[in-house]
Amino acid sequence: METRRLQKEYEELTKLSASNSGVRANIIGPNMTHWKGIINGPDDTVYQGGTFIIDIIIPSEYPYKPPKMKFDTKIWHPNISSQTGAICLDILKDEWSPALTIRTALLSLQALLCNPEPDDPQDAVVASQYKNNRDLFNQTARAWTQEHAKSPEKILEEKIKRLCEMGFTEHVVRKALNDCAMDEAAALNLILSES
Amino acid sequence: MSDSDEDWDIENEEDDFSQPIHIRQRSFTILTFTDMSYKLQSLVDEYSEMLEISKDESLILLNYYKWKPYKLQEDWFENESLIRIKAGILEQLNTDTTKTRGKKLGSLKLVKGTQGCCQICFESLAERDALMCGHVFCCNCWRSYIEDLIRQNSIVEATCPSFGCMLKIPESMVLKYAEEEMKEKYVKLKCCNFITMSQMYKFCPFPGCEYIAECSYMGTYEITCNCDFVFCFGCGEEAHRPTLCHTVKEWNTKNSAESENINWILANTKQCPSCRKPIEKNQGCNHMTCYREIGGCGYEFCWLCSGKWSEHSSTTGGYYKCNKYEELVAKNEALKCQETQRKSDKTELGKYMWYFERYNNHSKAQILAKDKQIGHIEKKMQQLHDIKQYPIGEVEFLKSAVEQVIRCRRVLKWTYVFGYYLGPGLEKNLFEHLQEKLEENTDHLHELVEKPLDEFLDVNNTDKSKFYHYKSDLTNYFQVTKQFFENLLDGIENGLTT
Ligand SMILES: [Zn+2]
Ligand SMILES: [Zn+2]
Ligand SMILES: [Zn+2]
Ligand SMILES: [Zn+2]
Repeated sequence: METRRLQKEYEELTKLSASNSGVRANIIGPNMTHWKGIINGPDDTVYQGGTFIIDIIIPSEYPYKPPKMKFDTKIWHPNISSQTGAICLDILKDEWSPALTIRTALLSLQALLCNPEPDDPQDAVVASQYKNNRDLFNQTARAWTQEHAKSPEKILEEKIKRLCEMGFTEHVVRKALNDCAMDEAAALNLILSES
Repeated sequence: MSDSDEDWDIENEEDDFSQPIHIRQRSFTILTFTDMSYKLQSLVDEYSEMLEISKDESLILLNYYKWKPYKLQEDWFENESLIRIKAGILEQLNTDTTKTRGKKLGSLKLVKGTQGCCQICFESLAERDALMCGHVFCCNCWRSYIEDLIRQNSIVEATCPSFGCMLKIPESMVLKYAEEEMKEKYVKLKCCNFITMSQMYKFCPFPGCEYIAECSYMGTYEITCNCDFVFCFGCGEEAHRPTLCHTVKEWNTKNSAESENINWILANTKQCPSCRKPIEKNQGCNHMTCYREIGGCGYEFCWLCSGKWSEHSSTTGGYYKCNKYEELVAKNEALKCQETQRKSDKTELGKYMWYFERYNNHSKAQILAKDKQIGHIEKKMQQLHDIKQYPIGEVEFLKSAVEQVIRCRRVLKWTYVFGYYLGPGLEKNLFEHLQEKLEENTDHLHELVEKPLDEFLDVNNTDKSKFYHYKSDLTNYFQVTKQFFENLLDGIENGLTT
């Protein structure tokens, strides 16, 4: 596998994510085969305001074989399985070209959020709702975005808020959450055992 | 690929009873892989000259047209540039063709920082190369890309690695970059594609055999390969006259659906009449042995009547029939009922089982004769030659007879499939009569060739008359069987009642 290319791709992606295209990625673990992509829900869509995490596995034949991508974040979209997060997108299958990159793949996922293709569906239930009852579709997709696609910062904020409401100071709560790898229940236990 | 692919395929000619297969026999040729690559190349050359294009282009076009050149020629003269674009030998200039999601992405800007770099490895372009589309990649990446495509068996239809570019990779590019071993694999892939696409050629289906048959007829038609395997050109299965290709398919599907019932038939065992050990009937003939090697008592008996085998001979019907059993059936009302009921079973499953059992018995006898008897008889022929100085030509009849037995078993096997699907009526009566005749004679011939030949190998016996008597007997039966064999096939294929 081309680790040099992957290294360059990563550098490129990090540099360009600063210029705000709404896609980012992190490498998980010591070798370069497991990534997590992050895409922001595009503005003026039902996914606006959402942060979607994409699981990315790099096959050993990369870049001659496409990266394996699926949504970690639950999403209501005709071309993405509402159960498993599996994605139906041609460039991740037959239309892949070695001249494409992880970044371009993430960008095309973002484009897919703007333009669903219900005639080539991954999730038949969602696709039929999209075609036959657009209002209900929009409503469900927005609700799922609010429920599941929160940004990590927002999730942290909510945890802090909940713990503070129990009567602890923000300083204590932040410290406990930090010590417990952001696990809310563990942090609560820690605070209680210390007081 | 284009939308109109389907209408290039010629409809497979329907199997037609009105035209007997032996009359419509056309010659076939058995070819090697090397022959095929010459044939391919000569077509490429021919079209390169005719259309005044390069050999690279000619190959791409023929592949695109699935090796149906008449269609290529027609389209080419109608709209050459459209064909060039569709087949991928000319770049599409205006980009507003069928919009696919992939194409849409093509308008997205690729990563900025990599301009001037190879778009695959992101290194600066030291040695570069491109097709006529001008999509430049470094030579190392071209090599990896092409070799990967060969490894994945997808080189034949492969395009330029640039995203959205539809230009096909020409053969000269493949040969320029692939290493020796990969080149060989490429040529193989190219030929395989040609053979699979072209309806004039078929691989011999025998495992491990690499011969290819060339034939211009596309229905049920028997090919004898150089490896001795006989197969059907129409469906690529083992030869199956007098049954038609689609019937064979139906039958095979039925067999897999009924596999549980078949297992029951195959596991159907009898107890040894002497020691009560269960014995499986695993051969076509009725001669059963309770083998000592597997813990039996050595008793030899008849499958049908369970009587001692030593009391059986050709006068009781031989190996494949048992008159004793038939007498027994005739005398015993219960047995008689059971037999007649089985044959004319009104239930579909019962009928199927009856036919399958007989199909399976012939199949086993056929396999056994092919796997064991041929080798055995060749050994005996050699011994007759070495010990008794018979010229090889004088003993060849033995092998011919076994080969005839194998052919008969194969045809008999398929007559039970034919019979299974044949509705009752005059035709069926006639068919069953012919089938019975062939079965009877095959059984007798089979029995004759199974005769131990040791008495003819006795060095002290200088009288050869017994051997010649045996030979004339066998040759006679061989002829008779052959006649019935042909009668049956003729009858069925020419129409039984016309
Ligand atoms: Zn390169
Ligand atoms: Zn190109
Ligand atoms: Zn063969
Ligand atoms: Zn066939």
